[in-house]
Amino acid sequence: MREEVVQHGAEEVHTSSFLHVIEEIPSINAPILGDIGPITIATSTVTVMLITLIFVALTIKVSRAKLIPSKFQVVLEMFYGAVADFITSIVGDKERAKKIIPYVGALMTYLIVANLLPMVPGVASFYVTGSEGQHIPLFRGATTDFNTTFGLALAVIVIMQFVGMKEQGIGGYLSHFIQIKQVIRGFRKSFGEGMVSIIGFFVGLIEIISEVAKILSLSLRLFGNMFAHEVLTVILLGAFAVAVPAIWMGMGLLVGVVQSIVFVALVTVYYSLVLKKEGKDAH
Amino acid sequence: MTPEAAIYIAKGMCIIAMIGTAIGQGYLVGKTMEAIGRNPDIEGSLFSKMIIGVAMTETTAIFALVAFFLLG
Repeated sequence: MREEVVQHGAEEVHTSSFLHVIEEIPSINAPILGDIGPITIATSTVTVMLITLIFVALTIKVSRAKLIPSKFQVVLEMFYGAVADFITSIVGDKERAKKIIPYVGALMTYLIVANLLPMVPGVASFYVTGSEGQHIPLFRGATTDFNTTFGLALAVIVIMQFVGMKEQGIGGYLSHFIQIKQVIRGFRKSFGEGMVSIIGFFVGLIEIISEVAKILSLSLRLFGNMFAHEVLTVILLGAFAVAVPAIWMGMGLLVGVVQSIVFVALVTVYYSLVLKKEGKDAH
Repeated sequence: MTPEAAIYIAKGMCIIAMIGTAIGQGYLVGKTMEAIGRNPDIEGSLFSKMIIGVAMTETTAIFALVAFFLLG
């Protein structure tokens, strides 16, 4: 059935009228360009590599930072300040925020670059010709591919487990999930408390599922928003001429930034939950 | 009924998820406006929190949207 849809889309390209840009609605999986050894190269993989190149260039640039900043360095420093303030405002504790900023800040920079890269003029105009003569955009937005967002979310949650084990000790961290200790302690006190702690034991088991659900919700949220925006842009470009899609594409800047902020805010909350609670905010 | 018709009906039913999201977002924005009305000084900090909350509420609709695209 997918074949039919593609053919139908291809016919529509020829009938598009003046100023109406009728394109194929992007499919949910990125078009595959070919294989290099065991690695399959899809169009979003190319974008991820481009982002990596951008980050290498940024790293070289940042390592040459001077005491008297250039204009570019001022922009980067302002960005760092904004991100650091944002993370500190979520964590609410400067000491703990310091631990979180390097990892989460890097994540935020990556996401903002990945979300906004397709909006850069010119990036969307690179095409390659597929095996059946169809035009495939070379740089598909990295976050509009579920593989990218799932990889990011998986990495985040796996790292959270290790940070939790490092901060609270392996036994201490795992006792949140398998609460045998609490059950024993409860039964020593009284029978009633023991029964309550058995409920706690099952809640702890549910927590394991909630860790997996975190991966899915983080990745699906980012992917869904970015992909839906791309699909709607294509539909609007076909339905209206220039004015309405332009406003919607401007909306895309907001969507990209807000979604990366949401992703990062959630990661910060997860991170601050696994850090050791100390002093007055222990509860 | 052909299988294709069933897919289209299922796609239409995916859109029902919008009801809950609309209620949630309306409630969220309404409450934020109420809070700003009572204490206009905290508008700056509330607004960003509201945007994050709205984006999180949207997630439910986004899940439905993913199901929508996965159908057919």
